[in-house]
Amino acid sequence: MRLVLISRRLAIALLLPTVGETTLAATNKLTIDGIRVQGTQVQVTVTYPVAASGTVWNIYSLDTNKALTQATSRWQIADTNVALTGATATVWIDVGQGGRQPVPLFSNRFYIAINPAYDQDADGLSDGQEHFIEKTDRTLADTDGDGILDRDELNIGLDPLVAETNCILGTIYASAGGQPIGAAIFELAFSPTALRIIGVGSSGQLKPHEYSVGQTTNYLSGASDIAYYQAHSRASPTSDTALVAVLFRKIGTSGQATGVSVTSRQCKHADTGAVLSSPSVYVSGVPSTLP
Amino acid sequence: MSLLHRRGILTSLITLALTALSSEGQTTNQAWSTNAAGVIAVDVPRGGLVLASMPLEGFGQVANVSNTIGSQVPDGTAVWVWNLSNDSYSVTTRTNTWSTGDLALNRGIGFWFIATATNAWTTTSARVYLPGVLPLGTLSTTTVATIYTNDYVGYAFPHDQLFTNLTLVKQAVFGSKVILWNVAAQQYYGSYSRGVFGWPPSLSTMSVYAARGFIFSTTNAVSWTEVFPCDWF
Repeated sequence: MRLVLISRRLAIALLLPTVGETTLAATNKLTIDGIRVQGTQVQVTVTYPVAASGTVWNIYSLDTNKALTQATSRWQIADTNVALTGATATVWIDVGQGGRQPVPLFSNRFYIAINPAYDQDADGLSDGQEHFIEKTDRTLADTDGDGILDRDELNIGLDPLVAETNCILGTIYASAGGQPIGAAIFELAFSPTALRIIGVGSSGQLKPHEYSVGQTTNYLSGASDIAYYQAHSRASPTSDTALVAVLFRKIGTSGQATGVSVTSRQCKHADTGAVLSSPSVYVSGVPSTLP
Repeated sequence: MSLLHRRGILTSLITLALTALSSEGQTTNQAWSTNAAGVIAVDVPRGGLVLASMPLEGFGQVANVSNTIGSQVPDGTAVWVWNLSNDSYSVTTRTNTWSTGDLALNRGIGFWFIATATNAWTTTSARVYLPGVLPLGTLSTTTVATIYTNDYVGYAFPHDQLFTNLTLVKQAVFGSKVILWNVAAQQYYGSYSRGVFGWPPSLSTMSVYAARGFIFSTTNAVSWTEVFPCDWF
């Protein structure tokens, strides 16, 4: 992120005492007031009615030359933590941050400034992110109504617009960095010959361990009806809490997915086997048809 | 203060007001900025012509050649803006600055980039980014009036659109024509004429591209009103 002073007025303003400056989010509006392409940069000028500083905004961008629709127009996060300068205008410079293409590699690009502090449904996703990027309902914490919050679905790699029918969401507690910290145990109401994890993920500092999407069987505990997903704490902080989700899909004799029934689930310490907590189970359905 | 000057100020004030209202309903919680803005690219070949059209609103003022194109093309480049009311061009040429920089680039109106092949060009083409504000809110309904005989026009919104989706094409009478400009070949092509039973099927796959112009020919005077099909803001 680069900030550039754009006018003598702005420069003078910066020399003045900051008395009276305020947080923009509380009182005023941001407006994109000019765009200039200069060399390999796009200079986007944002203005606001009164001097403000310290307010953090995000910039989203959208590249397209096709028909623009709600379904297909996915904005990208161009920059975050864009602080205003304390005067009434700031220039944000687009040099292709976030893996986006810089000038002149893109044809058409639009910008909008997002206030990440606004989250009507308190699901952990800002209104701007829900409306422009995720396309979720910013007034509903659980857009698809499957019991898993939009933010949690995104964190664990699920689609917040598609209701999950065979997902178990549990809680695992981390203890020490680099050490096994627990396992989510899922008891199944059948004797599986093979299972496939079709989606795993975690929030917080926990990272999926060992078992990647598409792997089968080797995470089954013996020949019984128990499967588990194990997580390690790999990074600081050394203790953390994370949501872990496992989507089960039973593989039939023909290799096609068949039904999965889940009867109960719990989290246990990986070493001691002690039950760590009753996991927060949002979905405990018995799906007849897998997604 | 001249009448024209007053009109200019009035136009600017109206534009400012409309811009402020363009995201009505979204500004109340300040979750995002009061507007969205961007740039649309037009590639102008050295020594060639491009038929373009401005699909965005100006930033608090009328978009014109100076504040929209500026220094993005080499000296010697001319811009010819079509005037619907008298079927003629207004011309400005760049030599360090634009000779008539305040020449307006209104949405829906076609204009030509006419590039020379002088030494001022160091590349085979110049990419021009047309900057502006997305026409949302009250600006999302745009009328281009009045189109009659042969006029140079463009789609007033910043995205590709099938010709057959344009109300201008839908309401066209027998004998109307759509004529396109081929930048690569530097010649007109694709003259589509509306017959007794409608447009030729081949037009149904043709699009008017963002910021590009075309010729519309009609024997009856028409006003062309389009609504920005934007459900993504």
